[in-house]
Amino acid sequence: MTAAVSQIPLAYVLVFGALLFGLGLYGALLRTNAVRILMSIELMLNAVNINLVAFNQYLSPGYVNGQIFSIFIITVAASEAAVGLAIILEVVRRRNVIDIDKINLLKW
Amino acid sequence: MDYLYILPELIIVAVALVLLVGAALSPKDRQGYMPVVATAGFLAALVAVYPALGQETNIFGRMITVDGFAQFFKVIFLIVGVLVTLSSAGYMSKQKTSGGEYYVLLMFAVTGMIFMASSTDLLAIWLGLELVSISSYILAGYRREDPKSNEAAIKYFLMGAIASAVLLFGLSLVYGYTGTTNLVDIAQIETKALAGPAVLGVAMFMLVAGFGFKVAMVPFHMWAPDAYEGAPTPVTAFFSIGPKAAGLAAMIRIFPVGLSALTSKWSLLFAIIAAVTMTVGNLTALSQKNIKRMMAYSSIAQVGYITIGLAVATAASVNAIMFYIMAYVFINAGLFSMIILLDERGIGQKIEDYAGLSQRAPVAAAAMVVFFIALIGIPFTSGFFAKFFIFAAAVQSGFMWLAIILAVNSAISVGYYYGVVKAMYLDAPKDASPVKVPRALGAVLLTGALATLALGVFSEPFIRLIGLASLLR
Repeated sequence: MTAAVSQIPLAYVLVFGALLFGLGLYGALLRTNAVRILMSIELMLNAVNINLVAFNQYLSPGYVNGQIFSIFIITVAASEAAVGLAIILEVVRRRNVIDIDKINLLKW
Repeated sequence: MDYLYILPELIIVAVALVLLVGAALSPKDRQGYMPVVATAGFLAALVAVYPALGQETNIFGRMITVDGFAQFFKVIFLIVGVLVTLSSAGYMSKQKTSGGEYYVLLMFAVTGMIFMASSTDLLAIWLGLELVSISSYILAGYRREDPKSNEAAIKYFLMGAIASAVLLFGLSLVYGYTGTTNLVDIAQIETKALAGPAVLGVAMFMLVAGFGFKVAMVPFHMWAPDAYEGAPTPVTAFFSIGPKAAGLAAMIRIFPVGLSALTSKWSLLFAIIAAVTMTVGNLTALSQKNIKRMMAYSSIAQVGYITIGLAVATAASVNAIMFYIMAYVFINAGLFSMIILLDERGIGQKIEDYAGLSQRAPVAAAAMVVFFIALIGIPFTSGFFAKFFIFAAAVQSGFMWLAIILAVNSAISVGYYYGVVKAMYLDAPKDASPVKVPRALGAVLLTGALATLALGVFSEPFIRLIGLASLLR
């Protein structure tokens, strides 16, 4: 751990993570553009990564559990985005809409 | 050797990869071998479960656990794989898009389900969950030319990805608080001193939300009716049994075992969720016209009943959940084999399309009645014991009010199941030509009906089996 990192209290990093997560959740729940929602979800996942890496570095620096977890999250997030973009692309090709409020064939 | 213990999973993945290459090489009209190979793969994996039966050990640095609970669910999931593959063969061969990748995705999803049930590490459970989820998103949108299927996929994907991110944030808090992702270690740390802090409470809520989404508990059920209706019908059959059972298995590993120190908190939460889920599922199902949508709400209600078992969280209630899942898999697989058939023949998905089915396909209609009776929970079917064990476990542990809500809800559910039975037996068919049941679907129908009756009449050996596989003692 370098000196600069050790001077930042863990709480600051966690608050940053929580804010980023809140921002992502806000965007994911209130935006209607499918691609924007996908971007917001990526923000949420990165907030989780920050949490994991910070907990790992500050609380159990001898182990790498948290860092390995975050590597898995990055990998899965990439495949999730690939599948998600493919699905969104298919919808846009068929129906020419990207606004999820207008994708409403199925209801009650 | 660690690898011997995951031989069934290795077999499925190997067969899936072979099929993936096969799908790329063989043209659409020459893919008839694919369901055969997939079924053979699942059956070979079932045989490969045998050597590990009765053993208890941890493998891969305690990421995967080999125990009775894992073996039990492994067998259930492989049976799900066989039943869904058999139900899909006819339907998928009639689709415009190549059917090959369908079986590959199904096999990957089953692998993920197995890992969810057989892992005691949060990282591995989450990886299993994502393997199921990502495969499911694609499966829901498999009919690319159908706008409803597209819509099911995009809704399922967006909501699923949000739920997954929320779940992960919860997992990161659990990791931060306990310093480990291993559930056995977490259970030990907490019994000492860590119970009670607010952070862990927040994390618990996030875990409930994430898994609750996967198994469609109210209020995280919004995706289910849309995904069930829009997805290709065999995929709906799979959704209603596979990912649900896996999510519940993982929840049993996480809540009663891993987070046992917080029992007082999540027990109440699950009790409320169970009551709301049962009631919302059953009441909404009453007004449905589309049978796939009706079955979506029916399966939400079933998850509500099962959630009572999670709220009670005793050895008896966890065993009851295992029996319930075993019964439910056969009931729904059998029931959906007929829904698939009628959809495949172009007869329709509406309940009114079932009019006069008792004349058009008498045996199949009778089998469907057996399944509905089992879903209601009438004696001599597996559904009776499934509900009875949950009921008894709830009463024993002082959750009398939940038991009463369960009974009332079972009565409500008669309303919509009877609607289909009435259409089949009392209404005149629009077209009286007989519906021939193909062999593969007939096999699924018969397996489901026989298992439903067998579990309802000779339940003793199965109860003993579950006692051996039980996670809580």
